Amino acid sequence: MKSGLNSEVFDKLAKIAGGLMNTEIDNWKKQGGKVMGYLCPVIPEELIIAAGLLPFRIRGTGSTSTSIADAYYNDVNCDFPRHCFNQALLGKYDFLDGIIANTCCDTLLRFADNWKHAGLKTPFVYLLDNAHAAGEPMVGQFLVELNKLKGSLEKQFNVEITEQKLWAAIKLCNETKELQQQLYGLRKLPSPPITGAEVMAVMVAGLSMPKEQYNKDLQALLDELAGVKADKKYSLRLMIVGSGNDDSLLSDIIEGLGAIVVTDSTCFGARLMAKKVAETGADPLYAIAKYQVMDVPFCPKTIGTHPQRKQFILDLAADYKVDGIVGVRFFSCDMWGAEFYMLKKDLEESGMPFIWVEREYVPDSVGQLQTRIEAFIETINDK
Amino acid sequence: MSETMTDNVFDKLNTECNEYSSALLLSTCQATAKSGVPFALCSDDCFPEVHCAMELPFWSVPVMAGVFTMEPQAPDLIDKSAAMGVGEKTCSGLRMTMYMVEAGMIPKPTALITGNICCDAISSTSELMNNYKPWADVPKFYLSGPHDKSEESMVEFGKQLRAAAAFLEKTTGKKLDMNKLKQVCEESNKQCQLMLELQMLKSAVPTPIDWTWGRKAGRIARWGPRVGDPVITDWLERLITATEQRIKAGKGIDGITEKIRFNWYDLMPTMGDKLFPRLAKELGAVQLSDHQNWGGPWTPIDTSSEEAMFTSFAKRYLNDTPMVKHAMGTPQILSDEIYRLYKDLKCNAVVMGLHIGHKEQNAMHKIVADICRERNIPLLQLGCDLWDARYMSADQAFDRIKEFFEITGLSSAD
Repeated sequence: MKSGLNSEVFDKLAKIAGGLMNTEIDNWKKQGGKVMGYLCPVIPEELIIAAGLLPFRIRGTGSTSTSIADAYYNDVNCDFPRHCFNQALLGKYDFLDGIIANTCCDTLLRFADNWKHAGLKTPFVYLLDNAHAAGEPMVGQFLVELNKLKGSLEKQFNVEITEQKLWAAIKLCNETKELQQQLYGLRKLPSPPITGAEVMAVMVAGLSMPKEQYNKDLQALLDELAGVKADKKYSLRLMIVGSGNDDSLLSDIIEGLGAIVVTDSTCFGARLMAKKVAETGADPLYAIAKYQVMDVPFCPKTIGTHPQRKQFILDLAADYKVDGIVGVRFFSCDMWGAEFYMLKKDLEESGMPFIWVEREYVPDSVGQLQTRIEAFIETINDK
Repeated sequence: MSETMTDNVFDKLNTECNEYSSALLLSTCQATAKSGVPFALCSDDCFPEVHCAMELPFWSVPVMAGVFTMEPQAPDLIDKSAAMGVGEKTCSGLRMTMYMVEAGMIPKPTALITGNICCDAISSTSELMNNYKPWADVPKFYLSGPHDKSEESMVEFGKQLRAAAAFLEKTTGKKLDMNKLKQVCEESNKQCQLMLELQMLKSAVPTPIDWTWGRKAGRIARWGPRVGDPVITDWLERLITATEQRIKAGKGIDGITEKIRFNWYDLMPTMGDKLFPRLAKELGAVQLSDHQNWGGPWTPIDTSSEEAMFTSFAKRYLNDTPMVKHAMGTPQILSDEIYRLYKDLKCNAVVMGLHIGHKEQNAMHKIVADICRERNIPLLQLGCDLWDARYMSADQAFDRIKEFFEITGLSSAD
């Protein structure tokens, strides 16, 4: 990613997003801190933070091959976890003191099993059973699972996760969301002072370092951006929709073609921060469970939520004055395949241009992607 | 009927089974819709006892489509589904199902129950059905099946199933009489016990009946409108008696000299009707079980209270139902079952279909292979497409299995 920003704080965050181990984690560990890797946003960072741990969202950043992981997975499996796992097998995740995987999809479901089977020396490996339907009746079931995870964290790390700690963690994470919302707000401007690729780096960094420091850095970045007078003209304002895209590949392509990505609905992007967990109530863990099962912008793993997903996308598109939407899914993802089929019909009805593309986590070449997106942009521009 | 069975009693059982199984067919569902009778569809049938007690016509759309993959037009529908763009690595059977829904081939139900059980492709199909516009006004209920096997999770899922039953009552006007449900459960418990007995009879050497009988028993005793019907109990008892007679007479599968006993570990592929008879005939390799017919251990439904019944449904469905227990269980559960079947059925080898759509199996193939190696179980992981023989034909599968038997010394390369 090439950045036009002249900002030290951005450079720092981009560097963190561009790798796995970083200086912030190094400092954290030198102070005796422990780091918990986790796979999916349905695994609550708030609970990990309340246990005194640093949550690190597992990514495959820096991976160039799945050659070792392929002994564990077949090529019908999505290559996102395969690259992540390959990095683990190469020792790139040796800094983790534990991992929490979840039952998000059939491939991620086996991530914890393979991690254990490979004999990786991570002391704590946990599989969280997340809810697969939304609504009040599911809150109780997910709360049961969160309580089990809480108990396991307390036992493993010899800590007590008090209500006070949970409320504090919720507040801290909400502060992050608030700042990220402000960052996204800048993208509503006719000429945003920050590109989609740059925002992606800022978002990924937020999942890779202590939240307190991240919030300070993000506030500093916002202060700098407030003084930027952007006047660059873009041919189109586009939105990206999809799953675990943790790099700027698509934004780079789009922005290299003269358009700009002004918002997204992805699980490293806007879906992380669009809604907040309630900061008051009888039970903070219930507040987290309710957020995850009733309030969060859902991904397709949650049955019965396509209408909300569609509305979330349409609302964002209106709010950010989007000219077109690019859907992106990893090749083997069953969930997003059907989702895009439905979304295409919905968006056609609402008159919103839409294209969906498939990608590998680490593509051999971006030529085909670039050609398709270029054609999409031309089609909109020709209208 | 199986071409190898000649006893008249098996002919009769086969005819009856075909008649009972017709309830599962798409054409029966279409006829029911045409008659105006209320009926429900689901993404998987979690509680056959409930809709049987309600006398509510009820179809699992993936099962209905799965049966339809045997039809000659299935490959064409699979090809047409490609145009939807849902992904070439998505289960072809469920891609076809999605196409059938979108093409209006599946009748509009009175009520729809969908959920995540038991794989991503079923979840996707569920979501597609939930958002199929001609069904927009159909009342819908969503299930979230747990992967966790604790009692707490089973109780919670039992509560979801109870709510789903109440939903069916409300939307279809059919009442669930708890006394009737208890009767159905008690009869169903007998049927499950008989299925286990049948499975154990297959451990005789030579095995007395061919692989199709387990599938037949499973189809009518666990799917469709006759679960808990004494007619099915009687059918199973007669099948067991006839099988026992064959064992006493020392009869194996007619026309087959049994040399190799193996377990096919996946759902039955559409190519199975060609593949397994050929393996038996040419190599003497008899397929003893598959995870479609080897369900179990079939948790007895505890009929002591309403809550106990629904918790039992949760257990029976999640822990015992073929594919569900595998896809939503741990690699250890799957490996332990492979080992148990291998031992109990006196197998020489195991062949895992490793269907391209079964992502969770593909994601644990090494774990299973390593466990089998530790236990000295010869294992072949095939990597076929269960529903589309164009991906791997019966002949290609035959060649690979034959080669595997030769490499492992189970048959000679002549």
